[in-house]
Amino acid sequence: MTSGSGTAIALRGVSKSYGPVTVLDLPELDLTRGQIVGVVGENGAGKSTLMGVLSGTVTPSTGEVLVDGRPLHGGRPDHARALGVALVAQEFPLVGQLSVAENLLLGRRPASADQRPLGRWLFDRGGTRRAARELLDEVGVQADVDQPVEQLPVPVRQMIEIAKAWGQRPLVLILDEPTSSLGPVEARQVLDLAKRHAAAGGCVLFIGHRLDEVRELADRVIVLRSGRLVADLTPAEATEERLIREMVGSELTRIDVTPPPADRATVLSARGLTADGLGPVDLDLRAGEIVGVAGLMGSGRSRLLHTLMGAQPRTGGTVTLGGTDFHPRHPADAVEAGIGLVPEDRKQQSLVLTHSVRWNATLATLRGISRRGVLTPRADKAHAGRIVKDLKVRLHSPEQPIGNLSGGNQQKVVFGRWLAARPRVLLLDEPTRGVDVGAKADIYRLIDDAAKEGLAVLAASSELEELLWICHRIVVMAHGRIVADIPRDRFSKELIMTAAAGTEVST
Amino acid sequence: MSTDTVPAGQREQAASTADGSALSRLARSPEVGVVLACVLLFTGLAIAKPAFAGAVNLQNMGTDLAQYGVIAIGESLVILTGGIDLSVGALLGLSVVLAAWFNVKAGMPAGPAILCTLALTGLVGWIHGLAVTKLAMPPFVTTLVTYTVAQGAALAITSGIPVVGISGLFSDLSQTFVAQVPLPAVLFAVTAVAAWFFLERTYAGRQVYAVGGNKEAARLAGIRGDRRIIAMYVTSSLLAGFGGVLVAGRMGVGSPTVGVGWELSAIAAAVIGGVSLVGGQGRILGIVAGAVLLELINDGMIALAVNADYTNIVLGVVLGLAILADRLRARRLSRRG
Repeated sequence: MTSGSGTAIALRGVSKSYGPVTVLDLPELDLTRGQIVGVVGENGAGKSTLMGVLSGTVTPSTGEVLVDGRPLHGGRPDHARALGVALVAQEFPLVGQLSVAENLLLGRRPASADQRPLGRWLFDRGGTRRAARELLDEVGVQADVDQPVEQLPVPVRQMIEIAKAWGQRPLVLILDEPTSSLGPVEARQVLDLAKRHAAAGGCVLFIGHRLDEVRELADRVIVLRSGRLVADLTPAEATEERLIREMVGSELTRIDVTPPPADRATVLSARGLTADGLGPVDLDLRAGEIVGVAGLMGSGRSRLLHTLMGAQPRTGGTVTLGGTDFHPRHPADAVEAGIGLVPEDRKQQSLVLTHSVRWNATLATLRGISRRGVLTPRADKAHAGRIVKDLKVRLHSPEQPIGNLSGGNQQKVVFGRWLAARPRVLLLDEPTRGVDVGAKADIYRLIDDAAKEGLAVLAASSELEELLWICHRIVVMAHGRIVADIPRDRFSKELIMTAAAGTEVST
Repeated sequence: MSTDTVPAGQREQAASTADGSALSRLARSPEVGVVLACVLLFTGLAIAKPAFAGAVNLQNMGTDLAQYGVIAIGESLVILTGGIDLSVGALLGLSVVLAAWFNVKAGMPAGPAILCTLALTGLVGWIHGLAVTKLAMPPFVTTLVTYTVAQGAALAITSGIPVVGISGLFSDLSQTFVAQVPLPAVLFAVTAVAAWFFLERTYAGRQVYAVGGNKEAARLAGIRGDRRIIAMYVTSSLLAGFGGVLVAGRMGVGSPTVGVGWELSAIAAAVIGGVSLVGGQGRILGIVAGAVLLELINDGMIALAVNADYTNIVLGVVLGLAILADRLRARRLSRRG
């Protein structure tokens, strides 16, 4: 690592588009040596794309990235590493069965190996362990280098991931919310490490959710919104208020939403509901009501939905559905009782990708459309045809593999699957993730229409904008609990974000 | 009106041309290729050796086919759930011995002896299913245990000596002809039709495909996947037991050495017939055609007087080609998705 000032990374005309959607557009950005640059922005603002471009995992659509003056070959993580870019990701790509030492030196040899005969080929156990121990000391982690990584608690694993990146002796160290899974002591160590790196002439890119942390650490804070750099601030300028304002952007445009129903009956009611990482939660849902669930990553949004669905075991509390006690032990129980779930990850949790649109559309209602267990092709086709038509899914034929459809049309099929089951309560987890803008509007209309007919909707989303648009009421979660319950006439991004950060808000 | 963006529309346009007519869709379905291969191979052999298409040889082939065809169907049901059943061959071997032992040594009439055999194999399948679902044991090792134990048990029960003197009802089952067609072949056809009906015409069958295709998606859609998986392991083992009864009748003795390696033929038939080893894909027509093709190759080599040592090489090459075709299809699918 060479010290001194000068440009570490230069972005020239870099942009990234997926189809018509531009997710990143940075005409010019220079990151200087000896600086800690904080990057903030909402979910979907382009932070992860920026990191991907810099670390070589994402190929930019236009422009080039210069690392220390040398152009980076897009889509080549190994090249980025060779040029001196190290990324500490949120999800740690450690090999669980291998020891701490083996993980730390994964893909490279300890220096001592070169002095041994056949060092190029033979595994230098002693040298690897020594080098690993030195690295852990440098970063300040207490861990046994021989222990398999999978046996370690998450915070320690995160620290090992950081040590691994540190071991590459990078010029540019990218930290993606490194402290989100750490306790205060380890978080302190990471922040100190970043400072040491910058002091030695390196460049640190620090992506953070905790604004106070970013403000304390960074020499410069850049704010991304909708893929664009909207503010480039000095620490003095970067007040918490200013940052939130820049992240949120213009005043939000409201669309017409059917007003929340007055005096409709309560459909679902949870009291003291607990599960692993959740609760206790009290929640009431009325017929025709659309309730949003806001909160940071890991705040328990998905857990709440999965627990109500019976997809995650409940550890305590009671739930009543339509006035009677409801305790699903399997999602099948929830479906029978009239609850549906549109999960967060379409490919992993919703669709059978190799199967046809028809098969996917009727997945939740197979029993209902068969007679005495027998499913006639005619009933099946008619049912799927209706779903496709009602939801205006754009396709060539219901027999084509669902993998061929665009994300928005796939999601409509998932919605149709549940609406056809005529549930009383519909749970939505990130209902428009990976959905193009046009289909998003269609899905909002679907949700609104369904609520108009008396369906109770509980929608969790990390896109605050969409919750503000479609919901009658928003509950905010933090650390597995509901910390705020905000009616529509009091909606404000600032209020929700403050609550999500873990501060109790009186409403 | 849908307000979808242009590229998505274009993608679907492209897909629509790729989907094309019913004819081209048919041509790309994996089953058609295997059926075609069967027809071509049969025609070729019948021309080369007219005796091959003679009644006696056809009857022989039908009986042979039934014996491992039934376990190929059971095996396929398990593979559809995303699992594998290595025990079918050994379990078939054990059933041959058990049926004979119940009949001869325990003095049961043939009917109860058969029922007891089937009950035991069903129990084994149920244990497989429980181990795989409730204990999350890998299907490969779970059924490998049974494979080993069942082979050992067949030898232990008989001390390696075939059980002789079994009831005539066994041979009635295996050597009766229904309008020139051997009864085992008829029973195999009935099994195939029943499996087809289950998979294509019942909601539970569709759920089996869903569980094999994406277990988590099926679970969150309210499908009790564990029940489906257990039922498929039970069926697979029951069909192995049934195959064993047929073999006992054919051989007239309870030999402890049959069934060795049959699980591999069963898996091969499934794969050749287009059943995906990762689960969720494959149809009965293909499975039956795969079994028929293997039988044609086996019997054809004998008819052509090819050295038996070469048979396995040919079977292996055919299996390799089938797996290659499966991968190419999967790759095309994933590239389009």
